[in-house]
Amino acid sequence: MGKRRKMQQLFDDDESQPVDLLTMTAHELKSPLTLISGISSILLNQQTVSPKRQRNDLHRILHASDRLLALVEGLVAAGKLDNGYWRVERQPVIIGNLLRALIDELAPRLEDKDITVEIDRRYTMTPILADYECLYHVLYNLIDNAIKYSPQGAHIVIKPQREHTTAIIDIENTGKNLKTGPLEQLLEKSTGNTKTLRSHGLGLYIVQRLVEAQQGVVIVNVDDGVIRFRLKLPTVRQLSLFPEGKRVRHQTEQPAVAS
Amino acid sequence: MLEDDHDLGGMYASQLRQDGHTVIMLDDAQDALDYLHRKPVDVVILDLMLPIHNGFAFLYEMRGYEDWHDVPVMILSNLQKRDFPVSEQLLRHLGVRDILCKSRVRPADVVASAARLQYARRR
Repeated sequence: MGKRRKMQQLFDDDESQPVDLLTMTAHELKSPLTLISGISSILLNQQTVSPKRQRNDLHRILHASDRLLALVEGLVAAGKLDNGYWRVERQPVIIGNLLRALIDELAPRLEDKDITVEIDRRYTMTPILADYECLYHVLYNLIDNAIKYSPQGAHIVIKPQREHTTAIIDIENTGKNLKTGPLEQLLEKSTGNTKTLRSHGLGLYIVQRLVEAQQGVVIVNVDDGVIRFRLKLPTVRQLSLFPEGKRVRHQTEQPAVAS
Repeated sequence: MLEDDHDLGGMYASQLRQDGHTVIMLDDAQDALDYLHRKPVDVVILDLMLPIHNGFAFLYEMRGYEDWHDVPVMILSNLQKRDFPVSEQLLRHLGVRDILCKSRVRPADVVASAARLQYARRR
């Protein structure tokens, strides 16, 4: 192996060094803070700024602040889960309603990058068994991640699906930021280090913790330039949604209790 | 400019353009190398933490080509020098003319550094 090749490998392999959570957190917080500070300095130093430009810049500050807040809220949530302060309360959540609320919240960021979002409507009424707040954080992080790493004018596709008693939500975007192939290790907690998270963000660490707490899994895959995050969560058994279902179960259980 | 954070990259690019520079922003090291093969550039502004090949790998690859041996490079990253896997001396040897920490400089400093490097190269 030539010297040059060896050197290149050294640089590429540098990500094998474990990065502690605190370092990773600090690094993640720096980007939106740098954006807020940078745009503020631009606005302050410019003698004349058109109202349109001023408005655009203020929007960018607002989006960076939102990113920062979402990151901090996610960290607090993950911390509470780790320390047992958050009792996960799973209840039926209609995924379509949640997705609509999220897209509304992220609309300014989508407009800023001229990104379109397509939601496959076929299974949006599927009730998912999840903690609403947890699921909100998870989907916010995944969609925000897709926006962050998509080029201008990109297209994001969200596909809720159902497989027996499992709800599947695919979030797909085009981009070149991940290697091709399955990337389950990206979210593998058991490896004991955060090396693969270094390039892909703290948001995914938070996602992993929140999904695990809801007995779900998240899988990452890249296929022909399309990055797909697949979220799997339990659905609510259709029978238990209806009063008759509950009554039937109650009746069958009653003799056993009586005896 | 090789930068994978489109928000930050957009901020620097808009300031550079306002100062009269033409900016090509790419988020992938391979795309940046392909671009260099097609068109000459005056200055490379390089982020280090890139997902596929990091900035150091790009730098070493770039310096392997004779045509680009004198293109000045500005490192613009949130990594601090003490976290670099190589010495500053080696970076200078690899044609790094300025190292800026994003969180410690303003966009105006980036523009000033780019202008300085461009001027030095054209002189």
